[in-house]
Amino acid sequence: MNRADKPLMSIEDIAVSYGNSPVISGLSTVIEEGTLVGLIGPNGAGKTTLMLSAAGQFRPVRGHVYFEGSDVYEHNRDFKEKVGYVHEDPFFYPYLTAEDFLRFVVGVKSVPKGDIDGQIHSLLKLVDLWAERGKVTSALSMGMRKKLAIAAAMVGRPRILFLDEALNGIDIESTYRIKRSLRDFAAAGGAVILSTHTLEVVEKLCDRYLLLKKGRVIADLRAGEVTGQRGVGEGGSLERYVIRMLSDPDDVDLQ
Amino acid sequence: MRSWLRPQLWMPPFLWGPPVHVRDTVARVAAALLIVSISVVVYLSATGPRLHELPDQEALIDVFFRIVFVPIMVLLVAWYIASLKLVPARASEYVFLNSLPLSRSSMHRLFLISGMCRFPWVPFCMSVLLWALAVVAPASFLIRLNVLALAVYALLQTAGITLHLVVSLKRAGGTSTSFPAKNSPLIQLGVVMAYAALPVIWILYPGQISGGSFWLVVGACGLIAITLFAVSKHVFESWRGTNVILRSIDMRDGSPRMGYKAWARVLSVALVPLKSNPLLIRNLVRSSREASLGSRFILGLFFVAISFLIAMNNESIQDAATILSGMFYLYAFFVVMKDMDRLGADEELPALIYSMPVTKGQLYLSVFVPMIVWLATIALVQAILVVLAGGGVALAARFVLMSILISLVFCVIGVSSAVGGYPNRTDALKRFLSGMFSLAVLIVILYKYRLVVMVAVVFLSLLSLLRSRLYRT
Repeated sequence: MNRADKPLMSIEDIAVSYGNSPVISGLSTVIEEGTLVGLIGPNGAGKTTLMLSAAGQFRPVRGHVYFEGSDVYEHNRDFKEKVGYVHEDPFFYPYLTAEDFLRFVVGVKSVPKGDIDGQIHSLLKLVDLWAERGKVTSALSMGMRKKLAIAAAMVGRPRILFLDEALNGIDIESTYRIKRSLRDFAAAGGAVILSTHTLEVVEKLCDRYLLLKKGRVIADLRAGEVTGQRGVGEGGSLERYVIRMLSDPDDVDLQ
Repeated sequence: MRSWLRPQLWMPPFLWGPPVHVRDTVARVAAALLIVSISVVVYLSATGPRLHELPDQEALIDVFFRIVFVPIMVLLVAWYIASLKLVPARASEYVFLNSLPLSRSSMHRLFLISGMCRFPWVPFCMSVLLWALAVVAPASFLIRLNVLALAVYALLQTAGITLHLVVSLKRAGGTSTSFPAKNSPLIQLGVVMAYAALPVIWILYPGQISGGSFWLVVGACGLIAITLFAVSKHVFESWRGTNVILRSIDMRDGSPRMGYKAWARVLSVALVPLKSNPLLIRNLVRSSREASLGSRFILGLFFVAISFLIAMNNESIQDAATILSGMFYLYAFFVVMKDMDRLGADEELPALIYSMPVTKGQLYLSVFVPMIVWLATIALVQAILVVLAGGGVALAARFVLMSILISLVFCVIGVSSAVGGYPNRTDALKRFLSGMFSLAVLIVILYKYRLVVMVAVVFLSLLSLLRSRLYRT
């Protein structure tokens, strides 16, 4: 069995409700080591909810999430040591500098003392915020804040990364560097789950696509499997496939 | 590592940042200093005969109300305004903390500490102001007063955070779609007023914090602290147990983010000509969305009541009117400074308005008119109070006219500074402050011609406003 087939996380029949209306119902999937999974779907499909539940932040009303064989809600703290999460609208303490904020996250996660300065240095360099490390977070631009959130998620060398619209608003050079480091991260045995509406990013970065609609997985494809799918044809794009899968059967134009 | 060994989980946020060796050293020094200062404070103020030292009550009350009370009120208003802006971020903070490997109790403690440390300048300024009473009160009394003021601050902040959680819990269970964008200005107002009231009570009745009574009050504070901590922990658990977080995220994901108030919808349809001026409709709806009308109304009432109470301490109604005028100018200054943000880059207004067929002039008026109308209303209410206090119509009319003229000057300088500094808010504020300073200097130098100076300033500011460019005009 090669690394890409070894399950890192398994989500089993989870259901999440919001009030009386179900957001996710009966969803199961497996995330293998070394994969970059693109989570695609329309607004309200349940992408963020799925990521939160899988990341041990929102307990499903039914089903289980296992990480390396143990239930993430039974061993929540240990699991969160191995998880990095970038929220769509990340939070920062406004009076801390970029470096101080990372030091706060470092202090909460169990990073060995000797490794702290090195990690902070390399992460700030990775997201191109080294020159801005002394600025308070409230003075950073939106793109810089996203980059800082990515750096904070990578503190403590997690095994799995959840990125919710994390690459939006980041400049081209930094995006390139971050994408490269995400590939390296996956190659080293980690897993990345990326939720975005930008299909080009998913197409170029991810090697597996999960398409969600109304809280269910309606397609689970490997990169390269899009070509030849019904209604897409040879050389068809992911965009065409997603539109075909999501469109109403009666919507002739979209199909 | 055990949670109590991690400084991030029990230290105030300003100690989170520095590198580990510096932080640990600072923490040790801070802990040592804290223990030493508590011992010194207890020895100096709460033992032996010093525990019974009391100030001359009449002199204390006189100095307090003449010198310290007004700055305390300004401090509290500033605290209130600042706190209204910060409350909605708490749900985001929880979402962030929830993604970190923290135990429930650590998360609760962090949530409380970061909430309490949001406004460290408030207890600091209060302490400085209370020390101004040193001219009439013995040091031991002031130390006791300061210690209790600090304890009250911490207790009230904890109570405020707990009540906010309870309110959020209630909203999350209901059908309101406004969570977590809205906050509860009334809770914060209660916290602010209680913080003002307790030191005042101890100054009016200093015997309550001397002798055995002091230790009784300390004991009561300790009991309340333990109870509040337990209650807040319980409420925090219930809060995180609900779907509050999912709800806050769901609001971001395509669903409507803010609830429009029904009365605002009805008003905007009934009172405003629909086709003739979309700008007004947008503004009305926007104002109701911000919920700033409510807080502005509460703050306005607060200001009118406090300023009238302070002014009426004077026997001469002329002196009272002069004090009212001074306080009104200060209030107008803060209102204009805050409303300048509505023409700032952080607001949606310029971008939103320019998506509609409106002119530059209409945009300026949409900020200028509500500002001047509000200030004129406050001036009018104060003038009515002056008449009711026996000041006579002539005095009240002079008060209103002068207040409106000054408000006009402030508003025009404020709007032109906001436009001139756009999109840089700091630059806009600098322009406003330098404009106000120049005006004050000019009025002092040419006091005899102050009316001419003010009219000239209004005229010149309007001229620069007409020639300026904002956004993509």
